[in-house]
Amino acid sequence: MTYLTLSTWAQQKVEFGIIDGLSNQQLKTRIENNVSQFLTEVTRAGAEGRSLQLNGISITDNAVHSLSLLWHNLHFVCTDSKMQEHCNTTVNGYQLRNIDIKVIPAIEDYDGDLERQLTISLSHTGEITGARMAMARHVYTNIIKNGDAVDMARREEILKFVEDFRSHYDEKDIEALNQVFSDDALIITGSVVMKHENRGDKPLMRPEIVYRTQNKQQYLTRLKQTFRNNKYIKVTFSDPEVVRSKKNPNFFGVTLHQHWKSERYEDNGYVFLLWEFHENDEPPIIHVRTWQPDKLAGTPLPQDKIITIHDFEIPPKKRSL
Amino acid sequence: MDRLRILSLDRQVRQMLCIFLLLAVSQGIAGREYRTSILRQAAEKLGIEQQIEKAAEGKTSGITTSLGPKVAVRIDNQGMVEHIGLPLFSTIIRKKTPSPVYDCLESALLDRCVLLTENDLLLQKIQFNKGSWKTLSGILPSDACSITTQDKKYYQLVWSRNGGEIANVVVPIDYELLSICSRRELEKNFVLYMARYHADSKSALPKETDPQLAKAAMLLEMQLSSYERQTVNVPLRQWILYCESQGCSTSIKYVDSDEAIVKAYVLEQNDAMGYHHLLELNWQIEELDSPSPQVKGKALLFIPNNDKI
Repeated sequence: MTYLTLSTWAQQKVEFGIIDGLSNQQLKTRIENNVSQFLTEVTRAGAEGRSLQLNGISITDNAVHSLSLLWHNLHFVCTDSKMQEHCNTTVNGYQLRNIDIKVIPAIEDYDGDLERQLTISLSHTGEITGARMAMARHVYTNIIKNGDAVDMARREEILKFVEDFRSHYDEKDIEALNQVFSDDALIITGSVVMKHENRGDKPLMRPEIVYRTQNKQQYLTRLKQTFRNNKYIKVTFSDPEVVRSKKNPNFFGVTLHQHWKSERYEDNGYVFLLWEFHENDEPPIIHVRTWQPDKLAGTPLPQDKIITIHDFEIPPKKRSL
Repeated sequence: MDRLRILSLDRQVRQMLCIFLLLAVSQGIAGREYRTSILRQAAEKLGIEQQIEKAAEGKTSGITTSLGPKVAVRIDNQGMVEHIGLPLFSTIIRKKTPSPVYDCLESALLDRCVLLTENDLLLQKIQFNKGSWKTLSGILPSDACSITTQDKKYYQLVWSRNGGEIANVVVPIDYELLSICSRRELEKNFVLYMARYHADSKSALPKETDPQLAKAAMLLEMQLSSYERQTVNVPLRQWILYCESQGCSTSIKYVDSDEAIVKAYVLEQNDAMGYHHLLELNWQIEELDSPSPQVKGKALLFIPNNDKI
């Protein structure tokens, strides 16, 4: 590795080599030559303080445009005349990272780092599709993979909407509840009844949960009545568990413990909500809401009796045209 | 003549009424701002707005009320009333083990003693293992008090006198209860107070904050609980420093993708209050190196903390 000094940048040729990550020798040589030529021009133009002359370099128009915007604010030069990096395979081609550069600000108020790194994206044929500044080096300890980030963000979004849903009851906001339930929503409410059971000559009373189904309008009409009859309502959710449908990734089942309290009435139970999230920015909707008592004649409801997403047939994801 | 006098009297009354209204309006304009509506209600019901007006900023004052005992009123450095309650905790315990539960219990005690609010369903979440609100109203400055946190879910406070326990109170870590404020009002206040927060340029940001991103102007869409979406334009620096002033700790995750980094999540976690805010930021790849970087974002506010998810 040869470290360049200010005086030599303008004349220096930069040689770039790929250590590993690319087995096609012909493509490897093509990329090495193209990137070497590109880095040499960038370094010379940066040292001379002139605009880039990218003729003869295999680079897309978009990349040239994006680079010209960057070059307007800052120039940069390679700090080494010989560089070697691993080649990363991406969906769109390849990516070369960690190319050390020194920033020469073209604007007065540049207050970023002077020692930075460049990321070069390439097509499957080795054409440069982008040359971008990587973020400050220290942020790289806080990188998460795109898939993990999407999952994390979706879980947080679900929790936020579940909390919004809870507060609609506290605020007796029928309009918001009308909006959150899908028009064909299914509402299932369990209640405990005592059933006669004859065992020999001794009649036995056994508690059992009986479920009643309602449509959205029936549920909201009853809820309006409840809201009218109670001046204040306080709903508390706890221990939510979120399960994503394997059949349709836009559907999530949320099972949680609910404590309902009003001046005259109080109960504890499990609420299950089947949410559908949309791929656009529209708010999610609830297709199913169920309620079950959390105890049966004083005994906690067994775990396998608590309703979850597995109790419902989830429609497959619609294919986008 | 009598008729004339009556008309003249009537005019005088109207003039006085106008002067009174003008005074009331000017008082209202100059009046103190209250962090939550329940604090304003408390001041009004206790009839102490005038004393609060004169009370010193940046400290706690004791104000005598016509309804009974002296109440503690704390006004912040910007002149906003941030606490009204019946004093229960010494400055020593407040400094030694800072917690939002002190303000909550003092305000709740005031509420229950003078029945400030009709709706006590929220305050019913406070459970007494021993004692009652009446016991708390009889707590003496010499009584020992200890606080513990149970499973990140509850605060437990125990008072003892002469070695014997006199009160044992459990307060869930629930942001609505601890702030004695509804989710909707908290959201509204967050947007208002964050947007006008003065971020000190010398205050340090978390080390993982990219310097270019920190100075970027954020066009943020706040997704509120009432299906309302409100857009605000603030620098990330202001967002972070405001959240940290509210007791949040910041963590930033940058999302890796084929197209280099163009997305980040900023999590503001408040364990003491039991909530967090999530900011999702997106930007064009060349944006951060422009002289006035701009990023777009979406903010989800007051998400309850839950370890099970």
